[in-house]
Amino acid sequence: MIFQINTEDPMQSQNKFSHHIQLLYFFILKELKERYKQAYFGFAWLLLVPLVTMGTFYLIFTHIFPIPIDDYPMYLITGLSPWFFFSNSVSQSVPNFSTNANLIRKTSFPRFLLPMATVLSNFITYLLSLIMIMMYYWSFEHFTISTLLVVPLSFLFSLYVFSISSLLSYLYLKYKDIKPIVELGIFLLFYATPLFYSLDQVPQNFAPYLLLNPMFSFIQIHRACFLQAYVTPVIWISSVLWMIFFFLLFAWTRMKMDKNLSDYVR
Amino acid sequence: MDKDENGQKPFGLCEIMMKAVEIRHLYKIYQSADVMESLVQNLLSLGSTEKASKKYALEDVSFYANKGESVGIIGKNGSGKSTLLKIIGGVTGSTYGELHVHGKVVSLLEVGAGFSLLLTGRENIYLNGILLGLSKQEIEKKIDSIIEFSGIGNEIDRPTYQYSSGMYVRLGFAIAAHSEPDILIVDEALSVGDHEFQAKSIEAIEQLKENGKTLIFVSHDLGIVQGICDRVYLLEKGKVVHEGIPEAVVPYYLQTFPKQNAYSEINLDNVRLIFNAGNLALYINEISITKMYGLYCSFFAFQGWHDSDQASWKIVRQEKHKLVAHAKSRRLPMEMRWEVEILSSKINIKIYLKKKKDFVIDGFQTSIMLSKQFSSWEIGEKSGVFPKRPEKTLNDWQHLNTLGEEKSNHMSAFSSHSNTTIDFEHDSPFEYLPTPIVTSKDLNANVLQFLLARSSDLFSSFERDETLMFSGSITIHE
Repeated sequence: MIFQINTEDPMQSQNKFSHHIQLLYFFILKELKERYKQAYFGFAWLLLVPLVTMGTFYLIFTHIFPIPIDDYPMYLITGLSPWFFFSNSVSQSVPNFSTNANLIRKTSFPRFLLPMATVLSNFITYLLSLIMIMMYYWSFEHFTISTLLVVPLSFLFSLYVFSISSLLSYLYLKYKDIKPIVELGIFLLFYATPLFYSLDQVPQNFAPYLLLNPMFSFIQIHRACFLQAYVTPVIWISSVLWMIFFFLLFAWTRMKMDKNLSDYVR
Repeated sequence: MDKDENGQKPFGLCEIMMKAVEIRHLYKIYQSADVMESLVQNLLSLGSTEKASKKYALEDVSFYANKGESVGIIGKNGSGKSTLLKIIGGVTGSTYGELHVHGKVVSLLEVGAGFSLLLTGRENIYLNGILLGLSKQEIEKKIDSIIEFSGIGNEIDRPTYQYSSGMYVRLGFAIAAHSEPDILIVDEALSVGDHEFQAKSIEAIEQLKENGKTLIFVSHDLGIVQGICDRVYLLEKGKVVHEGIPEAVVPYYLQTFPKQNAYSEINLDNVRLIFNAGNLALYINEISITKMYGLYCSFFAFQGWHDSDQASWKIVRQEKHKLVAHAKSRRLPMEMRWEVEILSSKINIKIYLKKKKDFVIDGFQTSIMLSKQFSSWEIGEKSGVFPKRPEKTLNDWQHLNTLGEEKSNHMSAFSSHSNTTIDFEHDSPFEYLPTPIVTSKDLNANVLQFLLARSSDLFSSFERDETLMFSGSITIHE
């Protein structure tokens, strides 16, 4: 039996919420400044890294191993921008609680704000690339209702990325194996997701297994918003199931570990 | 165990409202293997039911702090003090038990914890202030006062990795002091920083106390604990072993808890001596004659007194009735050796000094702190009564044989209560002034002291050899 009763809680729940938002804001600021403050290009790296990577992919797969996809640059950028959001958030979140050990051992605040700040700091890059893609489509009058669908989708996708990232932050405290598993996992998933190739190129008998890839359906839907492609119901259902699965797993782990998190940190 | 002089009242419904913190039958159990296991091990052992050994960090702890009260927690390292503070501060949870906290808890153990080295001092004020429960708007109003309190000045807009550790702590404390807590938890944080800042911090803490805030105080500096706290808990191995007013709990702790493994006892007939890292407690028929620090010595150098318990002690030799202990001072470049021997009702004490470097010692004293029942003193022809407390301010020690009126190498104190006389004499080659002293209220003791003000050549000369500083004896007449 555990009781914790704060009868005279000095902060009303409304206040508490806005207080946590302020804390989140400063966590994001801290995260970004720690990452880029001493760099010569500073915050420009937020866009430089994804642009250079995508440029490289474009050069390789149009000139060296040409891939027969229409409008290949847009095909690449609409798939890679959510992918980088996912992979960067996850890999930065894994050691998150460990690097903030001092904070967790000595202060009390909702722990999930730390991985949330990491995810949101990566969301900025994702958002910037989304805006650029939207501007491109708008200027070429390809803008349709389905393009706007990406706005709610990007929020749901962020929630999904947040569930996975914070789940891994918690698990890493208990199991140090998580780190190599995640590194390997991201590497494998990169090739198991139609990012630089298209689904049509995948042999018919392999295709159903792609549904086991937690990123596959999200990337497909994301891209379809822009390229006006048809999304099968199976893909919709799989994305919802993956989302529920990771969210529940995160919520359960959090419930189990949150209260005594400082005992796991070292 | 001493009886609690306050007489602890049972918990009542009406009293709960006045309590800022209340803990009942609280346990904190660590399952050692639960924390550090690999994924593979965990998967392999899924079927097995064998559980790792449990470690009780806190065991059946009940604790309370009334609103506006200052409560101290003392105990050795590893006794569970910090775990208790963490649970009160909400940093970690308990395994079983009840915890009630009424009001906003701010913990000074958090000082500087949330600092990010790459952020500037100003940005860190915001981050830490919010971590301590302030809103951004509140911080904006207070930021000038925080910067002023910290004394950091223009450096505030530099990144904190350029700060000295002192600046770091000062800034952290300044933020915490401005965070308007209802309950303030103070850990060792105060031991950092220079004298001026320490004084400022204690002033700030006393200010909070005056404003009716609740203080929960953990420190190894028992003087501060006695000065600030209304009530003290003594923890040992995760359990509360003693609770009461500081005047009862602190001496109990000092005399019975072995420090630095330099703890030893020697007995003869009804006399028992407990040497505890630079303090010597004296028991007759199992009743303590001494109080607090017992017999100790102190050197005056670099503008301050350096007591014998502020050294690293080691017991060098122990015989049946004799004890030799060696100490390296932690503050002065010198070493000390004590020889203590019981000969029936007489106890011989010899104190040797060895300087490692040349430095000036401006004074030296050897004292016995007696309990208040030793109410009168005698030096040669002169005699007097120890007053209840010093005449002047409460913080002063009052010397009763005003410097050197009566010269003697012998003085005594008498207890009419137990009809016991303590003789304290010396045969050292120095002109010690026999000085009976009544201490300040926090220590509440009567002291017999042999005091040596700077007069001898020995203090300024530098000899690498050991010098006999004090040679004397205590005799007990019943």
